[in-house]
Amino acid sequence: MIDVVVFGVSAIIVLGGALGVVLSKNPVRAALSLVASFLAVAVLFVIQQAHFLALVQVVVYGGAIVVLFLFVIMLLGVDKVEDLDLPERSQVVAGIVSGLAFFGLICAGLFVSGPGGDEGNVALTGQIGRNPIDSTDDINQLAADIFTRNLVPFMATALLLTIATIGAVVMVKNSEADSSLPEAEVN
Amino acid sequence: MITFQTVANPDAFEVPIVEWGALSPLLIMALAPILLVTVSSVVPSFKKASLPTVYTAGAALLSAAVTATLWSDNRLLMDGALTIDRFTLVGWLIIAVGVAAIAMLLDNYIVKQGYFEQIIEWNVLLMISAAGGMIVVAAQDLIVLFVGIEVLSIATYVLVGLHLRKPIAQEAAFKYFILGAVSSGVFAYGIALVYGATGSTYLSEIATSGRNSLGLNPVVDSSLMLVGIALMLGGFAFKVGAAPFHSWTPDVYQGAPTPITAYMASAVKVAAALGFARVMHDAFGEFSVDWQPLVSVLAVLSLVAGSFIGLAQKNLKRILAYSSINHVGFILIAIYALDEGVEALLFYSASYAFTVIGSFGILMMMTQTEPVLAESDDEKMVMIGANKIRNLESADGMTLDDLAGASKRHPLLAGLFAVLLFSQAGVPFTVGFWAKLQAILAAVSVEAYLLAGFAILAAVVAAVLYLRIVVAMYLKSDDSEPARTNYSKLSLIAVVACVLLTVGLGIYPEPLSDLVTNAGS
Repeated sequence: MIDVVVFGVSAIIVLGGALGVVLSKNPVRAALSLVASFLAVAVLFVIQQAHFLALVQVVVYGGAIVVLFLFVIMLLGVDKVEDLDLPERSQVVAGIVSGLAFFGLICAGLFVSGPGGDEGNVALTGQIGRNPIDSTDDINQLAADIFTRNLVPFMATALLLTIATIGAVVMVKNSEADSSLPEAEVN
Repeated sequence: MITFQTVANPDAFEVPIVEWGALSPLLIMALAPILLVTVSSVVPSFKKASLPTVYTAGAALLSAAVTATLWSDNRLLMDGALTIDRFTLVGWLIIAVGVAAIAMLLDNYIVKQGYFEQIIEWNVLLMISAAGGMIVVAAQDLIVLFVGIEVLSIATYVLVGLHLRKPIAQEAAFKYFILGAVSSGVFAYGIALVYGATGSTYLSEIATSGRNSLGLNPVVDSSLMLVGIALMLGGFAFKVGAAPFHSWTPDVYQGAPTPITAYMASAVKVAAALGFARVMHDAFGEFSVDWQPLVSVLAVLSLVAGSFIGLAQKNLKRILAYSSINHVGFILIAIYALDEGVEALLFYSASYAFTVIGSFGILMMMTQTEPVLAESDDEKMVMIGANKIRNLESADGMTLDDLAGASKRHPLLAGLFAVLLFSQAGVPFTVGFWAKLQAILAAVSVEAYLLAGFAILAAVVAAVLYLRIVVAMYLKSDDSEPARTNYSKLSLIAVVACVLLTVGLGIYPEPLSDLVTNAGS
């Protein structure tokens, strides 16, 4: 029972926060709505016994990423409505229509039964292929998973981080490159 | 309550055995750039003249050579996360050889455009991106595939934008980055839904995910799976640039530095197409009834958009971009044909890759002439938005009209270009003829006659596209003198190699068809 109540409250906060991100005119408020949404998602993870994921959600998303957002907003000085180029009405309509279409598609995937009838419907039966993991020690599970089954993606992520670093450095450093050639006359 | 505890028995960890030998082509491509960036930061004298280019081309060719030694291997690696078979090896070979050719094209492009300071970074990003492509081709796990695609694409976003003084390149990089990020999101959503339906991200387990604890087969019984497949299809279609997900292609191909355009049109596209085929065949083979109609629609739209819209273009880089969309149509036909099409897919990918590298390479070399008199500088000023900038890379603005008299100004390059264009058009005695023939025969063998008909029609229309360029070079000649060209010898070697392969394999295609036989798993 308590699970249902906690789920209901956090789900409302998740959705409310998400709507706040989209609807609030003030970028800082939008970023803070995002924090609310992220923290409520962390609560949902806790209900699912995924404690480590909840921790990462709070530290990385609720903490680091939103702080970065706020930094960018402040550095660019776009913390007022009039600083923003708000989308055209037609863009808003197109966004809403495509958003609803996508929502409909996902709902169809979840709730419309496939060729196998209701029994094959994951959302209705709650059964997926693999057995649920014993969640009492999800950190150990995670460690084991990273160093066994998911070793290759873990290693490949190292390449991703390398290009992110090199790419960021070269794009910033580049701006004062070789002044012997003519510079672009911007504006 | 969170409990931290040490693992009672560390031996319980079954760490996968790393098959160093079989992975070595991939490891060379991934570690060579790391070595390069380390060495060049410690030893500054490493950064001189063509040394980084030779290093990159050498490492890529070494990777290709090691790939060739593995030829008869066919097994799973790293606990089934990667696989090495003929399909993988052909893909690795195309990517590795492609990177070597691109590095040679980049050779004095970087210097001429004034980015010598960054020459190491261009090469490093190129090689790491290619390593991502090699992961994509070999992936047997959707998570590995996703990380591979991201390595491949994110490095490419940076490469497109590395020409920092060229606003059109910045615009292209940003467009590619935003659209690419959205398509990656759609793709990841598809993976999540497929995982939700089957409980696994391994291609083999998805295909035979068998029955869950309720005795149901989620693969056959779930609509969640269909939505997941559709989303992944959309993500792949964007990455290969298939219509109607192609709208980024002309803009990005035009704006990107020309050697990088060649890289995107060859290695990146081939890696994505082979990953696409692998997932569709190995994981979703049972669903072919559901996804084949979608792939055939993508193929027809790509064939039509590539050839017809291409005819309306004036800019050469945009014409070649539409031609690459047209080629994707043929590649999709081969994917549509399932097992019957695997050989056609590999043959087309291989022949297409070096033809397109050569084409963009020649386009770039035609603009690499000795500095001309100051009076013509005004012609190089172009208007982009409100900004008047010096067009540093004139290949971006090159139109059909600019080619008039090219046969006199660049007799050698125009001749090579004509051969490559004939190959793209599918003229007999070039490799492009055999590639198109195989794709159409694959469609016929699965009784997709309508698809084969569209392919023939599009090939004819696209032939006009290529012939217009040849006509512009040879028939609209003015009385121009041979230009004093100033391109790198290495670039010329790469382009000539592409042309020799095109003609050689066109007359005697057996080596390449032997290479791709029995590639179906």
